Amino acid sequence: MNRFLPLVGGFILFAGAVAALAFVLASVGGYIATASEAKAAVTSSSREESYNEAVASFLSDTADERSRLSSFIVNDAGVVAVIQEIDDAAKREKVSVTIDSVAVGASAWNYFDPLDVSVSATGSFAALSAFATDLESLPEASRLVSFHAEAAENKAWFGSYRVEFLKTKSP
Amino acid sequence: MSVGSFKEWLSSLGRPYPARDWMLVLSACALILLALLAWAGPLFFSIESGSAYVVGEPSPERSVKMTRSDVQNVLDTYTARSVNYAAHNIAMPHVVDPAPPASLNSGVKQ
Repeated sequence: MNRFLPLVGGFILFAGAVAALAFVLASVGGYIATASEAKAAVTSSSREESYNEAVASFLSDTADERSRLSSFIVNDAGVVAVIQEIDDAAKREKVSVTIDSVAVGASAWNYFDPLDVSVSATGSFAALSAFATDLESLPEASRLVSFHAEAAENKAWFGSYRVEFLKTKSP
Repeated sequence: MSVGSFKEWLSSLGRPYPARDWMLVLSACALILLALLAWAGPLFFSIESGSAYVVGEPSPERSVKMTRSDVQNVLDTYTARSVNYAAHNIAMPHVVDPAPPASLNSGVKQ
């Protein structure tokens, strides 16, 4: 039996060495995974930081322009002024105008909502067309979404308009 | 190797035969070492090349797409629009009333 002891000892040493090597390799693999995650986190954080710096710099550089641009956007207090502006345009183009509806539409935007104003008017065809051009050219951030005209009696025409303004979200 | 000779070889393992037994032991150890090398080799080279530290596809870099001149252009557009509207400097379309003249309507018999 004693003659097998060196063999058994050799096997035990070999198995121990293999186990130790396998443990070291597994540990190295684990450390590499951890290091990779840390490197990815640092890279992502660095990119996020430089992006945030770029955004902050852009906002700072354009503060004046953005402040002046905001004057073209309707707010809650300015809705009446917008209606008055449409009324003035109607008087200037000699059309009889009725504001049919004023409604805030739904949007996915964070800070703004569309403000839909529906208007109907009667007058000559040329006057209705001129009024449509006026509505297209309003100084606010707006657009003429639709314009329909149909002939009425005595050379008069009936027109319906839908204008969309950009409005700041109500608090 | 037929089934019969394989059984004979298996039964011969019970009998001591040093040269064969040492070869079996050495082969088993060599296989284990080769398996460890197959594990350690790629690990070593991936660490050396740095590819071990890359996790998936890097996320696309975000950048500010709008410049100050873009904002200035928008501001210029709306300022011009405001000035033109205040001065009523608006290009009116030249339109003709598409309704038929009244003289034609008056000739229609009811």
